[in-house]
Amino acid sequence: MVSQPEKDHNRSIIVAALACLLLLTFCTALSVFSHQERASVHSPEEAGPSGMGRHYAFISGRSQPSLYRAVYASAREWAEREGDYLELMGENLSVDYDKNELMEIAIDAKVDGIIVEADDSAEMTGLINRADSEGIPVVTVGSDSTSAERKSYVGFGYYDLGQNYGKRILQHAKDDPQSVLILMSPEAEDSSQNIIFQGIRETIERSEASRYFDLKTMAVPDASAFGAEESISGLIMQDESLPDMIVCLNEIYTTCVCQALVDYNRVGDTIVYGFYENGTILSAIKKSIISATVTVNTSQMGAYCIEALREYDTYGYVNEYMQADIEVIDSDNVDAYLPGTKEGEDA
Amino acid sequence: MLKKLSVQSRMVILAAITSMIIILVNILLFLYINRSINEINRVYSTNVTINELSDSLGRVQEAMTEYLNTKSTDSMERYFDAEQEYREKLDQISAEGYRGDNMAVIQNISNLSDTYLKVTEETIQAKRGRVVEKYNISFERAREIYGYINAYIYSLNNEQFRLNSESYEVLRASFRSLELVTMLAILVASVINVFLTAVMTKNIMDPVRQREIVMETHLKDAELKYLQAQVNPHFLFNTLNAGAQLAMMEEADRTYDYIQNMAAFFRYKINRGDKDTTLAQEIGLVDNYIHILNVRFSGEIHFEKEIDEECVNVSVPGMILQPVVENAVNYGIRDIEREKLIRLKVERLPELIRVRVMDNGAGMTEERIREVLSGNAGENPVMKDSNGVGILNVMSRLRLFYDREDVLQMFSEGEGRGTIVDILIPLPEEMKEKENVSDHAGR
Repeated sequence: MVSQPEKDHNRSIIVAALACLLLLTFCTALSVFSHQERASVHSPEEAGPSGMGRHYAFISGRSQPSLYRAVYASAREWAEREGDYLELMGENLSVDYDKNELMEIAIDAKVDGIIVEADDSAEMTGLINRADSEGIPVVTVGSDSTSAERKSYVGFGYYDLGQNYGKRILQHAKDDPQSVLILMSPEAEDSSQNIIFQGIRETIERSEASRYFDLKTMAVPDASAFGAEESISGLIMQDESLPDMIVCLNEIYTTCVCQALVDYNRVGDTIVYGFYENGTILSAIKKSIISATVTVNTSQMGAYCIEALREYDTYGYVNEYMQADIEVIDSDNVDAYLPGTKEGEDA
Repeated sequence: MLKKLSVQSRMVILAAITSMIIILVNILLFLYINRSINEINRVYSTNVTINELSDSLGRVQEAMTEYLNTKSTDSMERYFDAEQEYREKLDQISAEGYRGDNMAVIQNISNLSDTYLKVTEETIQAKRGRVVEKYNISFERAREIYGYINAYIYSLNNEQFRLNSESYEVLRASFRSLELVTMLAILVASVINVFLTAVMTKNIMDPVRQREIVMETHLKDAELKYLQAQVNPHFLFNTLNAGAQLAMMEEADRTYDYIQNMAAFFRYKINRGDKDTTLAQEIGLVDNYIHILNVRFSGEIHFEKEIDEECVNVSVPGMILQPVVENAVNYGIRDIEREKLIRLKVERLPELIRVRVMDNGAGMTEERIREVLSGNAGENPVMKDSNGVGILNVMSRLRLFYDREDVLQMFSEGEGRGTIVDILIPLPEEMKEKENVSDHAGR
């Protein structure tokens, strides 16, 4: 038998041991806590692959920011699926380089492939040829450089696009002649606008109602900062000469027209057809400020770009031309494109 | 084990343990804080490296430009040094394990730098070969690429600065929580210390407290006895003296002797009960006692003494002999029918003086002797002597007095065969010395 004082003694030893254990546990918890907290500090870099496959460059101009950003996002996703990396050239750089300078950087940085929104200028052609001579395959996207040594062109049918606009315009045939104004960029150095215009004109001319339409074009400068907005505001503010219909051939024009119609209270005074989609454009369709916009399947385009580079890497040749689908968004189907209802699209 | 240590040692151990806990907690906290400070110092290290890279690139461009301007050997050497340094920095930064977008930026910087260094090399070669047109073109191209690289370094630096600032914020937040944790840790340690101290002091103090209580009780008891004793002597001696005078006047010599003996006996008891005395005085007390008893029992008790006179002057604690004799009378010879004999023998052994009290009375079994000597005799009369002093008491006082265990022995050859009690007194130092001196003289 154990005596009472001895019991007390044993109990107090157990209690003391428990107290020490508590302290030790506390200290351990402290160290674990502090370790975990610092673990986040040790790897401050953004999550990403630690090793890199091929390094591709994506270069686009300024006239279609949303469209090319969407194409880039899709292409990057496709590239990352295979462990490759697609860099949006010029992103986060302190200097605002133009397309040609970015091409030079990409070539000097010896990337494994370039996806570029090209044009027919001599400089772009020369840069594409230089890249090609240095063993860097180039895929043009959206607009082509026809005479350059690019490996493939991923685009959409501009003529089809024009025909689409033409058919929409014809739906508004009346007895009175109607003026149709097509906003075009004077700085564009490729033929895409001309092809679209041709598509519109030929579609209307082939129809019996052609005499009711008076097609005109207007050059809206989009290369200089804010130039497009000034020109379009000027156009909408005119009381007399506001055309019956306006066709915008890029995203910036479309956005500017939407905004100007609201600002100068001219909603409903003219029928507008836009190009591509963004939040402003989609909500403008929803509110019937503009009738419709024509958009292209950007995720398809992005996927085609990466596919073209991969095919060229693997087989040494690739389809010269890949065409993405065109979609028309109007008040009937706009809900499907609005944020929250459509997945994976840039609104 | 702890029980065997002294109170002081236990207090020291307690202080050591509590201090250890506080020190341990402090050391741990100190380590954490130190580590955190180091991490804060390291936060912007990537920016430092990037800045060094940028400076190094600047020196390459500067040295090349200077060479093109002056064609001096110095600038040429500086160019090669700068180029070498730049390549090293580039390798260093490539090895730092950037991820994701920043890895692409590093790759761009690295590849652009390759191109750039190739172009600067060409430029220098062209200048050497005096191909004016070529080196002008090359120089322009080098300057262009230099601009691109700088743009990338700048953006990398910015991006890193942004990330590092985020890290810095996290660290600062963690530092703040560390403050809180530190305070909590110290608080917990203090609480545990207070708790431990309470538990352990209770442990230490309990036995001490128990002893204190026993001693207090004994003291009270002694005080009571003392007070009782103070009343008696005057009355007792006055009475006895009156009796003695009366006996003398009536010429009753035996009565006079009896009363004188009784007076001597009680005087001794009262005065010497708790003091040191000599063996001779102890023997005198026994004489008085036997005389009184013999009056009481009509001279039935035969008392024989065999005393080594050399030993009677040793100092002994008071009241050690009479209780032993009283025991021999009460439990030994009182109830026997034959002649009642008590023999006292004081003799000197080599290291001891042995005081032996023998009776021819009832005797004891060995078991009984063991019980008496170990104090387990329970409510046995041996313990509760009529004079309040038992064998155990005698034994414990002898032990305390001489500071040794072996002070009292009891023997008996069995029931009805008498009992022997030996008191063993260690030889005093002076007697030992005397012996030595006489030994030497004898030789």
